[in-house]
Amino acid sequence: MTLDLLEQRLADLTIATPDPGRITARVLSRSSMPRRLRFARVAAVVAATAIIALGVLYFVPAADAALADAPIAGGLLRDAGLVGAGDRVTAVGAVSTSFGYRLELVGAYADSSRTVLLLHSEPAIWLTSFDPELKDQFGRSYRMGSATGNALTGNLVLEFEPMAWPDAITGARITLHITSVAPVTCVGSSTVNPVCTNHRPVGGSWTLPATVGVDEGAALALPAPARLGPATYRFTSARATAATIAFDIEVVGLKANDLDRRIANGEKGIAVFTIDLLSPTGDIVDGSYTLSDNEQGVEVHFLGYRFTPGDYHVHISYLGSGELDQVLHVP
Amino acid sequence: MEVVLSSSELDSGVLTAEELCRRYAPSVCRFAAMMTRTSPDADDLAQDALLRAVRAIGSYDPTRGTPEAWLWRIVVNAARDSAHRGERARALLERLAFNSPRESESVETTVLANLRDDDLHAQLRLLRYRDRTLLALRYGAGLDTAEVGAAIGLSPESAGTAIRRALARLRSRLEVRQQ
Repeated sequence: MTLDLLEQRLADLTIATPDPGRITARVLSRSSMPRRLRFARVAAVVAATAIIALGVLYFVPAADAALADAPIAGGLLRDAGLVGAGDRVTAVGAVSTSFGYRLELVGAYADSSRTVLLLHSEPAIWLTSFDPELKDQFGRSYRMGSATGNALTGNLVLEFEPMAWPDAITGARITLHITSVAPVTCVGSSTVNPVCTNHRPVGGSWTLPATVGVDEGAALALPAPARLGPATYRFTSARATAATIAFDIEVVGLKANDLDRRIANGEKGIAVFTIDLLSPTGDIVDGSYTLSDNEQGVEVHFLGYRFTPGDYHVHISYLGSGELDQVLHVP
Repeated sequence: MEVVLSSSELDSGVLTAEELCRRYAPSVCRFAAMMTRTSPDADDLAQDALLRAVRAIGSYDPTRGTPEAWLWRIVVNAARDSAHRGERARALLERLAFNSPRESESVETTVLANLRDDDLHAQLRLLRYRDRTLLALRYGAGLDTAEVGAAIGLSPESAGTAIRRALARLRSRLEVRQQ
């Protein structure tokens, strides 16, 4: 089959690609650090737990984890989606300065869905060029899922994967290590559209320790499976913490591509599938979801940020098939 | 952590994490570069996709398909998750009144043969997620239409049709831009 000119241009496209060697090195160095506890390592962890039971306080830091007596700035909590969990955020206050850049780990929050670190930098930095490393007291590394920053205030929110067992019981003694930061400067203000510029990364060493309790939250009663159009929607888990609601739905009868489809309308298109979480007052809860194909269909993982107890409605619509409303009761 | 492969294309009968990265990292990196808006995003996607594959290598079942199809399904899922995360992060960044400066765009080229690679790449990245995935798998990762279809759950014929439609939409975008 011959390629036409556009196809040939795409095939020959010269673009800056990640260095495969560097990516490989990073992948292989991390692949030995399991995201979840593996069955084969249960014996090792049991042994570690026995040692803990014998009184190695270092590995049982929960008692040291002080909840935030002094209030953490509302802006940081808001940026992190933790307004409803302010009293569950651990005040840290660890400071590390290197090459003139002062980073403060202001607070930390961990639950069964994520681990959130609240930082403040002076002067402001951005995250495009460094790869923060987060480890717990067992030396396990945790992958960063997202990072957001406010170049005007110097506030940063780093979100990592959840702490592995047994940190949920013992609490976690964590260490954030950063080796490079990218300074960012802005012209303007929050009210006048600011123009921000990233500068060349600066190497250094910032080590920020913290002790954080893990809010495991509570399992919620699962709604019954329901059918909508060509698919069956079945809740497989639902948990609520002080700050979040996380649930998983297995969709049988559709593929992720079906759920991701948009109907062209000359603009961004209309999403065929939507899923929203509505608070007890009827407002749409800020949140995000991911889709993954599996053997049966699609796994939908939703993480929403909650502020009050009550009945939360999971509202699902599939264009042409109607709508579905399920209730999660959050005590 | 090893898995026995059935593909005759693989000269070794066993794929280790190292071998998987050695064979597929270049094409995964190129796919990531075509799918994402910035180099750090491409780095993150390539690393995330390969890390998922390496961690799942024990679950690969040769009776259910080729290792390539297995790998590219993982890569496509990683890209989809990355796109969702990116949308959420961008929304938050907008709320925080901070975004990276946009690069200026050239308007000097008017015909495809003279189109700069940067501009073609920019237009490609403006396509909707599904079209970008199709073209990045086909022309970035170098998969044939059957392999593209296996990665995203389409028959080879449907994948071929979808790729042609994606190309047509890219062409339209380029034509509109030249006007």
